[in-house]
Amino acid sequence: MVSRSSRRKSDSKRNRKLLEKMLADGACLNHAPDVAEAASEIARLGVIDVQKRVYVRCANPRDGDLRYTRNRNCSGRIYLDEAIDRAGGEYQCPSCDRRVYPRGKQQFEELRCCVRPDGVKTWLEKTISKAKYTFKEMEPWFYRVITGEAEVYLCVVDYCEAHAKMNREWAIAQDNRAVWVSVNPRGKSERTIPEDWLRCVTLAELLSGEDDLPSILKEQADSRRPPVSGNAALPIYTKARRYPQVFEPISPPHPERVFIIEVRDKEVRVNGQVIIPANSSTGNRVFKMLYRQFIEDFTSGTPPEEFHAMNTDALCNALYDETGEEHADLDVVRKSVNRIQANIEKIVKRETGVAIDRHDIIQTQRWKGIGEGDYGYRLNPYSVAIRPDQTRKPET
Amino acid sequence: MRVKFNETMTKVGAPPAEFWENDLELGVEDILRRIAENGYLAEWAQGLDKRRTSVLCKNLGLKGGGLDERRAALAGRNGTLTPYLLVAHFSRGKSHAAIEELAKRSLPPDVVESCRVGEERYDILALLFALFHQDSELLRDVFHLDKIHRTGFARMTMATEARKPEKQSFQDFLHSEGVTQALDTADDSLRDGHTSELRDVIELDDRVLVFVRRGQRPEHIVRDNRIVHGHRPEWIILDFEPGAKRVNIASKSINESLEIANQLASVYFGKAVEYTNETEVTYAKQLDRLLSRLCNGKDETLEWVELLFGNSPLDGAPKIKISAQNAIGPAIQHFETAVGGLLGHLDCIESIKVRFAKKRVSVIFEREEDYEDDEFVVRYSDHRLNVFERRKFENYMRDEYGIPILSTEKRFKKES
Repeated sequence: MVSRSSRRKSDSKRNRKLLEKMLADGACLNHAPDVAEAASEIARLGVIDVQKRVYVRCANPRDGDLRYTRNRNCSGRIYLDEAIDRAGGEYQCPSCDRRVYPRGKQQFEELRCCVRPDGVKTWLEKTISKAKYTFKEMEPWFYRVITGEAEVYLCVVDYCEAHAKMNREWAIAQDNRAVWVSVNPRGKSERTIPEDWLRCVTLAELLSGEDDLPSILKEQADSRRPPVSGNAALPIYTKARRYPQVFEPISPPHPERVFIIEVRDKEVRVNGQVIIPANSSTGNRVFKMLYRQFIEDFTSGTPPEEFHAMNTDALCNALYDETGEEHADLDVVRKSVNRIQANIEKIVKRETGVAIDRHDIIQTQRWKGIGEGDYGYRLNPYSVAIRPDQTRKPET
Repeated sequence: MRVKFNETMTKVGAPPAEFWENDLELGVEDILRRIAENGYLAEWAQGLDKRRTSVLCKNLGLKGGGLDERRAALAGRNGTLTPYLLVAHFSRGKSHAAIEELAKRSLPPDVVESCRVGEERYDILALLFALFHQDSELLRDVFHLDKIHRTGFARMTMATEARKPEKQSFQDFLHSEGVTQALDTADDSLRDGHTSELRDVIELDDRVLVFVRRGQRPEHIVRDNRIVHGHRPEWIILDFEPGAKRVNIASKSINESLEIANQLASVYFGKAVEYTNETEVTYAKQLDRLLSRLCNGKDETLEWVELLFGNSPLDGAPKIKISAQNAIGPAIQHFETAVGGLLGHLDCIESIKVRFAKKRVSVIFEREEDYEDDEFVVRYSDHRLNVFERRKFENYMRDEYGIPILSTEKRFKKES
């Protein structure tokens, strides 16, 4: 069962993600209950203006006029305006220029969020005041905050023009006693210099409650000079190019699919992902039987096409031999294998993004009665590679 | 003119006007008016190239020789040449893939080979002449199969549990009286005054294609300075899997075609069944991998040529489109370096276009309301590709990226 605290954490993360979307000035979001709720909440704080807009889609399979569209994939949205005659042919698709008659078409709602800089300023100042800290705006969007005995600087990087201070060397000279707040969600991840010692925070993190501004200010007020070298005056924040300027390495293409199987005492892993967890006892047993058969064929030098498959009868018998329990219903075993196959595909795709088919790990051989030869299930000898249990320690 | 035409056609063993006008939807009267002008057919014969004249001479039993001789011989065969002129008119705008595939199935290999132009191309008109000579009914097949290469198919799956009837296969059912009953029921429930007409059932590669023609929307034409009112015909194509558990639907209309498919299946299974739009989940990580490989030009089969992105990192978060005739991967990398990230924001990507088989194919990452944040349904504009290319594209996406890709076409029941 999911604990309360973990649910709170994931709620806050979800909330922060939503807020991030809204704090991109001009962003349009589909109207959904959670989005509307979050939007009205921060609109109440005065940080954003939210405008609800109604639109119809140029090409929508649920509309009767799809048959008249030339481009059935047109992505154009036609925003409705009370002042325009809906039946008078005054609406046109901005994408394909088709004349659109919104009457009778499915309507959608969207929220357009515009950040209010003055609202952001008021919220920040109120939050600092509430903590009983004194502050002075040295330059527009650049504050000196006194947290008891120490002082710390606060800069809103999106709007601040104090370029002489917004650089790495200035931050080092101030012993890193500065907090850099970005309103745009991309501010922290893409536009701020990637130095761990800098204290950057997004407005979404503050609004969602993930971070607390007074605590951050207090913490940063006690900061020491960072252990960094170099004298280049690199700007802390820039819209002129994206930080970091490196791309993540991508995994090489897989012309021939190979999956690494690791069978542990109580779980099975594929490419490092747990695909049969410890609590799935039947799943573990069934997989281990197929694994043993695979090893047997592997060590005996059997060619891949002749690797043996185990049918549901054989699996039932093997289960009985191991557990002493009768598995009378073959369907239960068959469904269990099918479930494992589906889980493997889902987990590998979801966690690694690597292309995998249902039969790449556990292969279903020919159906009973169709063709000749063996039928049932086996570990796929073409795409499975085995790896020893990495948790095993040498016996002492 | 019409009576005379039918007489001539009977004499030369060609089908009458009804076949051309109703079965092939070819307006004959205009062509006949032009034929009536002196020398029109001879002039047409003079314009035929060597492949076409060879096939025609062979069909009409004329002696070969040089190209000029063949042309002269053809010009002298006024009546027997008329149906071939109609075939030439019929050929306009028809899918090469459909004609080539049917020709390879129906004609002797040496005839097909004689119509070859290059490594991958055939002379389509020459093939049609040969097909017409073999059996004029084959033109009907061309007319119908041409449609499956041009329209997208909504992928539908049966939402109701139903057991296959033991007595009759679905293929047999489609040739029985039950079909008429199902179409009548569908017309009754649609209540739009139109009648569905079963035009053809073709079995192709283990699939059953059902062609239904139906009136769609009111339209009028001018004829002898008078307006003639009628309805634009709509072609509904139902591409059934052998057991009828799945069907692909091509049509202009949304609910009419679905109703017909539902009724056909209901009569076959003996209980009310319904088809619903198929969905298959793709995870965000898979799409990340796809976009990353496309962006870095690591995919040799697909070329990324367009990106439509909502809520861009530009001030005011406007929608942006990056489009080019060639790969946009470097442009996207430049944009990401200069302005801000694009690929990490899958929910902002409205669509992408990739070049496959020399055609620009739209791909969208659709979000369903009840799905998790990292779950998408990937769809593509399948009408841009012919049937064979679609199969290749879908297999490629599945094999290379593990992405099950569906058509952007969908069908819904009319909300009452």
